Amino acid sequence: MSPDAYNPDELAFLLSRGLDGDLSPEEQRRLNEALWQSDSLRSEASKLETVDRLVRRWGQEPVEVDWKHHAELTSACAGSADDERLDKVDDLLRRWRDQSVGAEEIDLATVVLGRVRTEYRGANPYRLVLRLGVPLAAAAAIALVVTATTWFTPAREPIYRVTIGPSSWSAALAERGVESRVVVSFAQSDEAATTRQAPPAIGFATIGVEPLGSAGEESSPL
Amino acid sequence: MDARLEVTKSSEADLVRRAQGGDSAAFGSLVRSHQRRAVSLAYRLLGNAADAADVSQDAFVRAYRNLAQLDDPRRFGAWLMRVVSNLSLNYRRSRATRAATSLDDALEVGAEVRRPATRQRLSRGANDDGGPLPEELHDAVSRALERLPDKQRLALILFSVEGLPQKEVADILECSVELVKWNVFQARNTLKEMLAEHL
Repeated sequence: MSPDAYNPDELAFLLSRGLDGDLSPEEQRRLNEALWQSDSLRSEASKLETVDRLVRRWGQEPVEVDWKHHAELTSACAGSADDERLDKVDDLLRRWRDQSVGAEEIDLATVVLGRVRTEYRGANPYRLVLRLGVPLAAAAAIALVVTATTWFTPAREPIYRVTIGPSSWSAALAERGVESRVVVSFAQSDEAATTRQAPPAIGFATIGVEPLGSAGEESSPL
Repeated sequence: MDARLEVTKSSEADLVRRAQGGDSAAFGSLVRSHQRRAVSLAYRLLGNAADAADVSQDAFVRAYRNLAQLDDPRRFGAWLMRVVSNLSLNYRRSRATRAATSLDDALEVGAEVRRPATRQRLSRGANDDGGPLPEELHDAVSRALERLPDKQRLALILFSVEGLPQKEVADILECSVELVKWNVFQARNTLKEMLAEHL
């Protein structure tokens, strides 16, 4: 029979569900009647029951993992497989076999949290460079373009004032390992806003930032 | 759901929320309360302790990393078991394609060697009611389970071996309860053929 051919009325399916005490009174009555009439169905029922018992007993084997020796084995196997190392592995296997412990007795929490901490420690310097360095570089580029634009038009009001600084969320987010960002704020002068002066195209077009009305904020995500 | 289970689930949900907020001690408590089932499930799916140790560790680390994605903290247990199941199945597939002479095989031999409780079992047969199986029968059942399709093996192990309610198995497998029952039946039916000489 195809595994996809779901048939809730199939008698063998009822037998299987019957083992789990999952039949409605009506289904139970139908199954009993069929069992009474058919030798082969009774034989089928007996085999399914035996299979179920076998599987349950198969699952009674205790799970034994010795995490300390597991770690030693892993590190012993990590290098080259010369004779000395293989002897060591063999010895460790013997000790492991003799000293296994139940799965519930281990301190897996310490192992897991240790791994997580190591990963985060290892990743932090690189993440810090990305988190702060890239937005700061982008912000510096904006500042340069805006300063240059206003420098060469000294007689007029500045179009934008640019402030660069960490987001107010940065510290809290960084503690939780969440990506943070540096905020670049633009304040457009009143004159520029009312005279609809065109923004300096080169700098903003390069990084895709647009002025947001008379005062806006845009950030540079990592 | 009975009242005690409800309370347990609600305090577990609280631990999950605290862990999502960065409380590693809360996550430690979650690991301790689920490690037996995680290691046991990985072991039943992989058949040796070394792989089960690797996979269950990885599962907890991944769960920690992705905890923010868990919308309903009350479903942490099912979610974690799904991570363990998926990692175990992936591990089995990659193990199957690995070269026969790798060093991992040495580890597997080690894991096979260490089954002291099983080794001492002698003359019990398929129809004995109590206790673990004798070694030969145990190995026959292991081999037969290995050959079942993934969904059937998972459903049978979670339901019949780990003793989870059908509803929880359905949660883990992301399918209907009816499909769980069908997969369990299909698994039993196939095993009946494979283990015919022992029945």
